[in-house]
Amino acid sequence: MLQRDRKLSRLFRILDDAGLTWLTDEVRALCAAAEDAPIDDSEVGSLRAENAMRVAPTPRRESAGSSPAGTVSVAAPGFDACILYVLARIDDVAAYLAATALLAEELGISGVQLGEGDSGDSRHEATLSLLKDVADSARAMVEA
Amino acid sequence: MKHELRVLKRIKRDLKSLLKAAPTLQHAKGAGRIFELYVVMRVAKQLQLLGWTVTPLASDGTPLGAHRPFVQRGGAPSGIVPSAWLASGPSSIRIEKLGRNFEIWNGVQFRGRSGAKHELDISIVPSTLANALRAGSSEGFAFGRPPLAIECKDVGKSGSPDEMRSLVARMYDLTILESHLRYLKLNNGYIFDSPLGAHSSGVAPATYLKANLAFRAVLARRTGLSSGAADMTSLFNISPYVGVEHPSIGADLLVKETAAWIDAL
Repeated sequence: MLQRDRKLSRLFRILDDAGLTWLTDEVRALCAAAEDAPIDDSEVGSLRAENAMRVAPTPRRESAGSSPAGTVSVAAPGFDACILYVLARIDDVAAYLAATALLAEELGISGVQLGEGDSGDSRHEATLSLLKDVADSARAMVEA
Repeated sequence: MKHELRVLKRIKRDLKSLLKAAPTLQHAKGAGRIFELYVVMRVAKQLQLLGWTVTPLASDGTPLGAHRPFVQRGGAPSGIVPSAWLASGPSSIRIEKLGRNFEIWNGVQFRGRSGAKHELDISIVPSTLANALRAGSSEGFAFGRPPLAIECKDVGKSGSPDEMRSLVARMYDLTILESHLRYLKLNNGYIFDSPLGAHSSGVAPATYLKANLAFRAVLARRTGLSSGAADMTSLFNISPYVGVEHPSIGADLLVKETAAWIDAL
């Protein structure tokens, strides 16, 4: 668990340094959601008696309403699961970009550019290729 | 462990190059910006199938043509820049059919009655309003509510009541009613090129109920909605679409119904 947390901290730092705080937030939410999974009603009762703070309403519990019977706490995802999540989101971005570029071409223009002026790439192909590089690196980490 | 450190370093290097090429990924909404662009392009393509003439435009309002890409707004949200400025700014899409002329905008800020600016992920506005804003000498913000506003949420968490309240509040601040016109010292219209109202479009609705029925506000989400959020959709006439991703039935439904609604305008 400690090693997982250390590795996760490194991953978060890399994503934050790159400016991808939205992705860090999503991975953090994934971990928090697992740690904050619905618990069954009898457990809620005993926890409430033990410590009111531990069952303070959280957005997840509020939106879930009364916990369904039989649900149990879910372990936080491992480091590989977090990397796989990052990989899935990168794949999402690549899929949207490829589909969008194709639609742009069907509308008679040469593609899409993410961002204006000199800061944006002139061709979506370059972005797609870079997305593939990041995904390959992430995949290598999981497969090792 | 050594191998993982090496791979993390490689990911860091690859991300640096990626972010240099695609700065919109660093935007607070990150991948969500590309999701918005995907919805824009799909709605435009669907409108073309419905017989609309679809023309992607450069930031100066001229057609992009076959050799220039569609430029998505990057960085902080903003208004509409004058056509006299560089044409390499954010693009838009003109749609025309039988005398009806609109523009599809992505990530543009509008000004509300409170004076606050609100970014709408996707919106359509009358072409005459877009042209009036581009004719200005500084960055301009449309004042009022566009006929169509789409809020895109490419996030893993279910939509909360607060997310819905935020959308409802934005629509409320942007809506200009007939009864507001005399206080705002404006001629009749539902949307203007500025609070001074040199250019106006359409007719202001009499009540919020009529505005909510006449205009369309859409919430397009990758994941679902909590029941508290769903409860607010009917009174405020927010059209929710869930499970919107590529490819999906949710995305197909959003695109088809949105294009059909524009076609009926």
